[in-house]
Amino acid sequence: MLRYVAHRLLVMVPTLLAISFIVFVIIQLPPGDYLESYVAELQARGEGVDFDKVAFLRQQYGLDQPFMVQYAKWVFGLLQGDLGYSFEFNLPVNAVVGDRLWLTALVSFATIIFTWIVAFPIGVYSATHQYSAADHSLTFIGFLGLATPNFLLALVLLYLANVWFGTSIGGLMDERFIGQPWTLEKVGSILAHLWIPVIVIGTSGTAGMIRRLRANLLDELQKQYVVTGRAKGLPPFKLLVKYPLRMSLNPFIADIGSLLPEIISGAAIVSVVLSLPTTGPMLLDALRSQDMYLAGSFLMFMALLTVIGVLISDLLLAVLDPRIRLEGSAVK
Amino acid sequence: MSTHRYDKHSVRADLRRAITGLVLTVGPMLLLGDSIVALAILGALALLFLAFGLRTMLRGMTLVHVTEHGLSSDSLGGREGRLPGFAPRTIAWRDIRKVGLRFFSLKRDRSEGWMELSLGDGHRSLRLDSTLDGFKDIVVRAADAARANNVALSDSTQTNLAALGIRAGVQNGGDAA
Repeated sequence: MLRYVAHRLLVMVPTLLAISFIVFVIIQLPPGDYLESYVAELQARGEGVDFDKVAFLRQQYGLDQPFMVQYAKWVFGLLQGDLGYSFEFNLPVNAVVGDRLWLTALVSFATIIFTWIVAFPIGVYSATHQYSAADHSLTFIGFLGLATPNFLLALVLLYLANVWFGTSIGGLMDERFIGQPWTLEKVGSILAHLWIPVIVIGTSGTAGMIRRLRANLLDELQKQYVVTGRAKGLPPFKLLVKYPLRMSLNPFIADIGSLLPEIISGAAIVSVVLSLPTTGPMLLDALRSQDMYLAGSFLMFMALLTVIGVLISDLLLAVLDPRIRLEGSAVK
Repeated sequence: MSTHRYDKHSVRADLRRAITGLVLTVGPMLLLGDSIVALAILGALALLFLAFGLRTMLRGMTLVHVTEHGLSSDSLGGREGRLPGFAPRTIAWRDIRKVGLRFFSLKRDRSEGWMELSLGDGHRSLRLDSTLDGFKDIVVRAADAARANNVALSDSTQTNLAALGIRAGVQNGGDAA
C-alpha cells in the first residue's frame, strides 16, 4: 500500500502543474489586464487618468513581462506559500483571502458529511423496501430536493427565519467575531451558524445521492449471488452489508473527487445569498475585475481540493475493491 | 529450492520516485517560512517518501526462497549484522491461514498495475509484489496451499487469481483481501 500511496502522490505533482498552467492561461484569456479595466472604469466615470502611474504600476506588478515569466514567478511564489498580489484590494492575496479558504473547506467537508449521513440510511432503506409507502414518500422528498435550487431554499429560509424568529440566519459567525483572531468562542459561533449553509448547500446533493444509492443497490440486490446467499440462509442484514452494499458503494467513492468542486462551485450563489465569508463571492468579483492572482489562487485551491478528493477516492477504492479489470489487463 | 529477487529496474524506478518525492517535499519546506500547517503537511509527506525509499532499498536486497515446505523472505539478502525486526520470515505452506491477492492500478480503468500477494499463518505475515521474478509460480503455490488448508478466499482475490489464469480455492468467503 505504501508503494501505491507514493506512486499516487507523485502523479499529483504533474497534474497540479498542468492545472496551474491551465488556470494561468484562463485568467489571462480576457483581453487586457486589471490596469486596463481600471483605466476604462476611471474614464467611464469621467475621472482623470495618470498614465505615468499606470505604466509604473504595470512595471511594478510585472504585467509588462512575457506570459511565461509571469507564470513562473506565480508558481514559484505558490511553492513558497505566496499567493501573489491582489490589485483590487492593494494587498497580498494571503491577507485578502484570510480565513476564507479554511471556512470554504469547512463548509464543504461538513456538507459532504451531512450528505452521506442523511443519504446513506435513506438510500439503503428505500432500496430494501422498494415500492413501500416510506419508499414513495422518501422518493417524493428526494425529487423535491433535486428540483429545488439551493439559492431559492436559502432565500426561503432567510424569509422564514425573519418572519418567524425576527432574526437573520445569514453569515457564518456572529458579527463581533468577523476579522477577529481565532478563539473558542469564534469556533463555537461558526459551528452554531454552520448547519444552515450545510443544509442549504447539501440538500440537492443528498437527494441525488439517495437516488443513486437506491438505484445501485437495487441493481446489486437482483443479482444471482444475493439470491444464492439468501438460499443458503445468510441473515438478511449480514448478506446486505457484506456484499451488495459494498459493491454499490464503489460509484460513491469514485465520485469523491468531483464532489468537492461541485459543492464549492454550487455554493457560490448560496454564499452570496447567505453572506457567507467563503471563496465563492470573492472569486466571482475577482474574475469580473481581472484580479488575476486572487482569482488564480481560488482556482488553484479548488483544483487542489479536487486532486486530493481523487486521491482519497483512489485510496479507498484500492482498499475496498482491489480487483483487476479482466479485459486487456496488464500486470507489471 | 528456488530463489527469487525483485526486478532491478522496478526497484531503481521506485528509488527515483522516492528521491523525487523527497526533493519535492523537503525543497518547499526549506523555502517556506512560518506556515506551520504547510510545514506539517510537507513534513508528513517527506516522512512517507523516506519510508518508501527505505522500504524500496530493502526490497532491492530481499531474497525470497521457495521450498517444498514453505516460503521465506530475507529482507537483508543474507547479509551479516542483523538488526531486530530484519530476521528472515518463514511461513510453511501447511500453516497458511490467510491468502490475499490485491491489484493496485494507477489508472481509473484498472488496465495496468501491479499485484500484491499477502500470506499469513496466524502469527507472521508476508507480502510480495508482482515485480518479484517468478511471482506467478509463488501465487500458484499459495493458491494450492489455500486449497489444501481450506482457506477462504475473498471475491477480489479470486478475480485476481483468475486474471493470472490460476484456479481459485475455497469459494466465497472472507473479506476483501
